[in-house]
Amino acid sequence: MRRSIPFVFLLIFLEASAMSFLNPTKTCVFSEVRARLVLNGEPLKGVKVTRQWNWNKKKTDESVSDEHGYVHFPAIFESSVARLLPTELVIGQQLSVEIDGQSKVFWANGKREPEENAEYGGARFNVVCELSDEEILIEDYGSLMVTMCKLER
Amino acid sequence: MSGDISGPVFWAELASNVYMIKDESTRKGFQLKYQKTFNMEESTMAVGKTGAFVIMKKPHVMGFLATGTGENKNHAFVAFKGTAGLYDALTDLNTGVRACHTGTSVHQGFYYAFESVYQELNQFLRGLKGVTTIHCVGHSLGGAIATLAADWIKSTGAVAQVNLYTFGSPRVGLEMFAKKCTTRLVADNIYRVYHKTDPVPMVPTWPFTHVPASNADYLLFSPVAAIPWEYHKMKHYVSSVKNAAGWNGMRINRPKGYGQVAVERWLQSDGIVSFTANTLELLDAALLYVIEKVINATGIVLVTGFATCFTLLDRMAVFMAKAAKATVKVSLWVHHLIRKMAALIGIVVKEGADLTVEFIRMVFNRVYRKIADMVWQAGQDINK
Repeated sequence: MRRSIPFVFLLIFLEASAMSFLNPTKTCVFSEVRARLVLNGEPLKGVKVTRQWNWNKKKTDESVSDEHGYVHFPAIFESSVARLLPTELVIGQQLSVEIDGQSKVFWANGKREPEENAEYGGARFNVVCELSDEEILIEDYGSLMVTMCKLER
Repeated sequence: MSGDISGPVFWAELASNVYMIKDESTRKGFQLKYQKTFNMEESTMAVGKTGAFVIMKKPHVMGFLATGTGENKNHAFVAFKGTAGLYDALTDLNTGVRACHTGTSVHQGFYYAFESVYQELNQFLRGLKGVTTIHCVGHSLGGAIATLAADWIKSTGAVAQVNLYTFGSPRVGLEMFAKKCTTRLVADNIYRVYHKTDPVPMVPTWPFTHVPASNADYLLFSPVAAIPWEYHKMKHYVSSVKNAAGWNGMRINRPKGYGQVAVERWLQSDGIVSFTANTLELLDAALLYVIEKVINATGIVLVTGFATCFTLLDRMAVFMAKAAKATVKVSLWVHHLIRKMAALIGIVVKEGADLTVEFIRMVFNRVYRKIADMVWQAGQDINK
């Protein structure tokens, strides 16, 4: 009986470690974004880009494009007990740019999987966006994505 | 983009995509996807006006109502998404049942969810012109609400035909609801799609019954997954439906279940009773068998006529206690049933024991809790 006590504690410890490591409620609400913004073939320099996501609450962050039109956002993770229920995951996602005081959405999506990079089916979120293009519907990644961006591989 | 509404892929995708009407960023894709199928304009979507397109935002339910365009102009569409708020209710039979809008008994939680969209649905129905068919669709708890919506819409006589498509739907009502709803909609217009390893269609357990009450279901074979609810997810339903050979490829005849002789033999037997899936099916069949026998022989009515504070278990306990004191022919089967159920929880009922309401309620309660545990345990086991 005495021998089994440390073993039980070890089991509890291992289980607790695994739980915190795996954290079943942790969800990537927006993967790391690297986008190159172009307007009529020219890089969009120094423009404000707003990233918005909405899982349980609408949130935003901002970045500014560099001299080559590149903009970067780090991955964002959130946790919710909702993940423990058998519910469908839908995270509203949006990227918009401010040009001449006007906001223009150039990427919109509903993220349906909790993993990072699920937006593009596991590929890194590296895109080039020609803002004069027409937006199209992309259904290749298990969601309904509307964008004028193309994935750069 | 519009899709062929006669095939299952359209309905699986719609049941999945209705989750995308969540906010303006997700709704954009929904609009592009269905712009040639439904009448919808951003203005009406955003403010929730009635008319061609309505979005309902309620604490537990969100769905949309739309009329069709082009070749679908004589069709209307009613879609509901599942919600987290009602999951507790699924394994809690100790909730009430209520007479639904068409008069038969359904799960109280689903009733209130449907009630919360009833006004909008009614308004939408009144505004329809030239529509001959309404399609109701939903996944999970959305499937339960779609079932109540389809049943009610058909009862109004507003349209000639109502089709129902559910994916991984729980059981909505008691047997009488399932029977009436099936008759009202006609079994061939009901498409109940489920994965073999999806646990949600298994609950609530007896005496709740699936719609359609007879005929065929649409079964998708699925493996045991690492996550308990994996095959409840819409992405798997969409994928499985795409791989199936249309409706005919999924259509199966529901197992006939246990006949009268098998049920009677099981009830009369003294063998050891253990908790297995087969026992659950037998118990399901035995309970319905005894209830029908009591109603036919004595006219004692189950469910109706009680105050709302009575739960389903209370009502069943009162019903069985009354039946136990009825004619010998009937009370014999009630005794067999209660004895068998008590054995499942390790209680021995002696011959001639007085079956009080309190005792029967306790037996029902404990058996049901054990079933609920078993269903959830099944999920946990899959998780290992």
